[in-house]
Amino acid sequence: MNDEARRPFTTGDVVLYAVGVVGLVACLTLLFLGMRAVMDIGGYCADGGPYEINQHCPEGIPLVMILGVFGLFGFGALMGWKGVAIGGVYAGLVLLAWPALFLSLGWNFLEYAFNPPGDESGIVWGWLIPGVLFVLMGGLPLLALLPERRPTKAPDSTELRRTRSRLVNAMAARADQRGWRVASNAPTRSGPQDDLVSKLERLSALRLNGTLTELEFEQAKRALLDAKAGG
Amino acid sequence: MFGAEPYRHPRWLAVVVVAAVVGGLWLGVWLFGAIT
Repeated sequence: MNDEARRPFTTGDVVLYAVGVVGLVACLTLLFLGMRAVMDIGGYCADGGPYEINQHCPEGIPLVMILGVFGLFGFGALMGWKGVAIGGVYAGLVLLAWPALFLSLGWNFLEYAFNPPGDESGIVWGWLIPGVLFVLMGGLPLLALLPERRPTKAPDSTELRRTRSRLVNAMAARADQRGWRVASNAPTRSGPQDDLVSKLERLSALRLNGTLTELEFEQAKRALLDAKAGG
Repeated sequence: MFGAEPYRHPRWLAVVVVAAVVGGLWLGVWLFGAIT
């Protein structure tokens, strides 16, 4: 069955998901720009109510902030809902809104902390501290959300060879115990010379698969050759 | 025989999402300019 036929979501899901993404990103942008507009006039403002207002908000900023905050939740919910319907990586993509929000607002704090508007100069600690906090609040979850990068360890060919040799040896031993003839691709040898060669080959295999150390191999080989020379 | 292969989302879906992000940025900047 091809992937097209197994598609678990509808076109409507994708359309609503895209609407959620557009709205969510637009709201994040509104909050980012709105915050900068407020910071440009000192970082606070007020409008309405029976109060004597020291610093009025720039025109339209209250609406921008209200739209941004409420839209963030609404479009975020839409994106999460349809993301689950689409599945895969799209189900969790809405979670990136958290780091996006805190990193972008944290960026504003840091930028204005080092380059305060107006006549102020030097570092504004009242903005630096929230800036660092916001970057941590956005950055640490982002690190957790990013796809896990597992170290890609190539299969160790030596280890594989040893395991295979151990398995083959164990099977051969069992076969010997039961009196079965072990099939071999090698031509059947006979005679004392061939016997020596086959013993040397087996020794070499034992060294290769790690059963024998280099020293043990040399000793065993020497013993074999000596026995041959003596016999 | 050994179970169904995991479903692979089509590539155009990722393109839609990237386009939506770019569109959202544009919409946000436009809205901000329109409101303020």
